Amino acid sequence: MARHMAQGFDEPTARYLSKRYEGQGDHALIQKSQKSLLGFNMPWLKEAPIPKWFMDSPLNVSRPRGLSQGDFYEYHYSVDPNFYGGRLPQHLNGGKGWSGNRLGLERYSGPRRTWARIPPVWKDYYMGAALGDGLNQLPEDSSMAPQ
Amino acid sequence: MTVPTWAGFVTYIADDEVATGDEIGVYGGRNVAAAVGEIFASLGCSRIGDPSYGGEVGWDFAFRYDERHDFWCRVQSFHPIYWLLLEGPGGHRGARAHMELWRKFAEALEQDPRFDQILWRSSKEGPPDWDEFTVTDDLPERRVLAELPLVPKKPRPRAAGGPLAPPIIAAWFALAVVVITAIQTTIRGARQQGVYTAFAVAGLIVGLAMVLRAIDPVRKADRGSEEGPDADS
Repeated sequence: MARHMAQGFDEPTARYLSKRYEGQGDHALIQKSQKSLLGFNMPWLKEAPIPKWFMDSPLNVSRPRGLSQGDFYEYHYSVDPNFYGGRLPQHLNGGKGWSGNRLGLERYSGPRRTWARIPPVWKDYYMGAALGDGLNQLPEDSSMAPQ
Repeated sequence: MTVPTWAGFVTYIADDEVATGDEIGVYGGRNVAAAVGEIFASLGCSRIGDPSYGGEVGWDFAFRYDERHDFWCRVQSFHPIYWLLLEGPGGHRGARAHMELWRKFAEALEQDPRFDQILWRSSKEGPPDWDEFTVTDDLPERRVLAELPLVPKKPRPRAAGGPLAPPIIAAWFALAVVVITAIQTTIRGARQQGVYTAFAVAGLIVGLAMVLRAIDPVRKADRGSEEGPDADS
């Protein structure tokens, strides 16, 4: 909450922004407009009959765990070039919404944005696979270990 | 010329946000998205979808222009200020269609008395800031709920096999190990072993699925007979 107050929000707004985020998340892999895949434009994607269950599933939606409302807005602003801000309850922040531009936040680009935008479920899978591969490289007993 | 993709405007079309004093249950903008969709329909666009909810980013819908070009439009509410994002197809022809539709749409929006103070911006600039608009002070009283209505949750589908699934899957793994070991010891030649192993694994997966599905009717019948007398109470 202190961080949001340091950004210039009043206490009620900072308290709201510190609440746990329970929204829909960011359609990260394939955007709802079906224009791009992880931010890379794919003209053929618009024609693809992608089922709604997949579009809205954790396989496609990025909602990093444990983020507060304000954290998620900042995350969303940094990875989604089409996200500029969000509405806040009417009596908060003088009736204005939350704006990444007004806060002077940075937008990610290149590989950093791609990595940050990958839904956590995929990262978990690949981290697990990579960890498994890593464990396979370990010597089976101490005699095989490098001296 | 680059086609402006962002617009901001003021409209006093009824605010459809569902909110309490401290929480937004459903973000508004559906009414405005539907009104914008009607404008696109009047411009000859087809296959206009119903507005789809996107949470804090608002309501969006897809449509076609000239039967060939796919467009997508999103409306985000800061009632009475709204942001609109219009994305069109790529490529040379797509860009031409985008420019053509944008010109028609921008003019139609200007002509529509429900929309006021329309400002267009490029995709790089993003939507106009809220301070660029003048909003009347005598807005109708907002409907603020004491608490958010309960949304019925979809029941989670029960996994096939129910509580029997874990021991059955464990048994399947044991069976798979036995079968693969048997193939490795009895079949000679790496290629042959690979083919037999692939068939064995495919057969075991199909078998596992069939066993789990077969258990379900038995389980449901048992549950039905247990719940039967109390079902109506």
